Amino acid sequence: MRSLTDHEKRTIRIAAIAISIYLAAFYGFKTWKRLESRHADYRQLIGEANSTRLELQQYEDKVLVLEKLRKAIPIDLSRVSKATVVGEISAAIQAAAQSGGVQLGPLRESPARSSAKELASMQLEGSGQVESIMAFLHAVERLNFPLVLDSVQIDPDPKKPGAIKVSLTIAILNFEEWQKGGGGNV
Amino acid sequence: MSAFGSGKSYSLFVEFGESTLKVLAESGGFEVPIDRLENGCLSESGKARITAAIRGFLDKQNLGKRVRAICAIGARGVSLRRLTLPPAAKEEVARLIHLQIENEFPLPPEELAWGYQFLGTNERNGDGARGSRELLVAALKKEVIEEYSEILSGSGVKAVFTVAALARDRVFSNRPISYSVLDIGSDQSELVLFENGVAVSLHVLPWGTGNIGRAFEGAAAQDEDASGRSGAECELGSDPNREELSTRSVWDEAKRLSSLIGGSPAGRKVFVAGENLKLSAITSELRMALDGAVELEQTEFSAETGRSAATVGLMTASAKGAAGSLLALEVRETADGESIVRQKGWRWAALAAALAICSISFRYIEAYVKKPELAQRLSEIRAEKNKLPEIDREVAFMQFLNTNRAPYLEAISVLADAATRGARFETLSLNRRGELSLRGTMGNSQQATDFRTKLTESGMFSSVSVEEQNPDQNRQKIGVRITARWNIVQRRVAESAVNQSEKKPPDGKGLEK
Repeated sequence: MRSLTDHEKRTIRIAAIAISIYLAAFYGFKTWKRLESRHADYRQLIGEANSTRLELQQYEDKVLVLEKLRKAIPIDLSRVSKATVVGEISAAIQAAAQSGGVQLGPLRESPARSSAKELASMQLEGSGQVESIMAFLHAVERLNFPLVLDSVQIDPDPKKPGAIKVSLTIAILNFEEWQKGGGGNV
Repeated sequence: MSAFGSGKSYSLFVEFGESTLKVLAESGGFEVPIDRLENGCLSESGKARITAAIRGFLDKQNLGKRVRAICAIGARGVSLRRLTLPPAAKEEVARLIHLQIENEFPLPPEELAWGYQFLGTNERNGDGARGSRELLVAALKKEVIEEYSEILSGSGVKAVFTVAALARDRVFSNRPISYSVLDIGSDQSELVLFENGVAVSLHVLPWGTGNIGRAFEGAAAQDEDASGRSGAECELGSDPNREELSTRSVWDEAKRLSSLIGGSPAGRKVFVAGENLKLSAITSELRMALDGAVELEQTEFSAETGRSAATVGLMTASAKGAAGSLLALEVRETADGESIVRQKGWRWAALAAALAICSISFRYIEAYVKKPELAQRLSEIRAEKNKLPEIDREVAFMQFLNTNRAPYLEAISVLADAATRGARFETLSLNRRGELSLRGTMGNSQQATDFRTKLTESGMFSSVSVEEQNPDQNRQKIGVRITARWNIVQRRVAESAVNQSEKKPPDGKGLEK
């Protein structure tokens, strides 16, 4: 095989360098564009992560408030069923009255307004000594159910001298409606 | 470019001989014996003595702290080659020399101190194109140069090294085109042959002036054994036998030297240098031994301390501004100093480029490495985020419960505390909208007024109004009907709710007052 002359070697060397430069520039630019695109995506993700972090920071306070409220009102909503809650509340009130020495009178349940996100309304009467009635009120206030004492009326019991009669109106909240969303109009 | 450079001036000229160090300056010189170990290296005590002697000399001559010197070294261990380089670009020359040295010398160039001199260029085919180049290369183990360099730099002398044999001819003014220089030492001699003004071979001859003394002593001992006289009985000056022995010894040794230098300088002129005391006698005997075949010429400079053919030759070259024509021996890492610099430059450039690429790529590597993890984490957080509205709703529900659980017992307790003795409540009505109404009897209107004041001061009630106040039939009591608003929301905070949950229920005794 014929050996290359110096001039031919020089030509080949220059051509190789030129092709290398062209390839480096062509593929280098493509690679650079791809890297930049990936970097831009990454920056966007970082931006999203930062905004999410800010959102979550707001919820840190809410979670603290919720924990505090759960301690103050120890209701476990996950264990309360909408279908049975009214009956359970009725039974709990009767049990509280029985243990406190309060004689319960008529107890009326009526469906509440759905717009107010109430499940039912309950009116009841009871009579007994002042201490018994106060203990009964205390027990009803502390029942761990989603209820609100709407009104309390205390009158003297004409049938029993020295005894008083208490009339309570209780609103039972529809907690499932609250959990579905929207504020309450209670 | 030669290490001697152009335009540099040197003030000290040094020759490291086999047994003596000779130092020459314009104002004088000195000599120090050299102590060598068996391997030829200088002993530590010898180094210290040389360093001290040079420092003392520099101080005495007031030559300053940093002195430039040309240092000539003996021919022992020095190899001289005449090489031919193929036509090559200027930048390729250094690499080619390196390759040639690698081929021609027994040690790799990295282990050698070496130098070269271009002798000329052969034009190719007479067409003016660049042809092969001739060069003279001298090399020796670099440890020798490093050792001498260490001693001299320790004395404050910056030295450039050359081969003494190549500098001695500078002391002879009438040099023909081809000639030889013979330097006769005490134990060995150096013979260098020049052709067309260029050194072509360098020989170390195992013959010195000491050989004459040893030959005479041997002959004298044989003579004493034969005649039965002791050496003390006869002296050289008075005994004709001993004079004859001496002459014969010189002649014998001259003949031996002539056989050593043999035919190599035949037909040429030989310049003889060496210790001047014995040089004349040897030269004349050598001339006869060579039978006039070779023209001998002896050095003719004054035999002062520090002066030798090498030191005087160096001084002459320096004085004439021809130091650049001397062959400089240097310790080089690669083919040439220039290529070292170039390689280092490339190395730094490559390092800088690598650093630049790293610093740029960090920007993209971060995206490649962290993006998948970040995307996965974000998707998890988004999934968790769907539960956040539940937290909102539960908080709203619990807050509603908290604010709407009116403290009925607390209100009753405040009412009971505010009531004075004799007061009697017949009907009490409260609701969570904050409306209170009660009906009862009190002792007089003042009690009703006090009751109202106490309710207001309790902070729990506001807008207290006595809507009706009627004295009874006996006018001993008055019937009252009172309405008020009670502040439920303000008093219902979570903490107070916690506290209230621990309170015992009021006993309601106040209602009986």
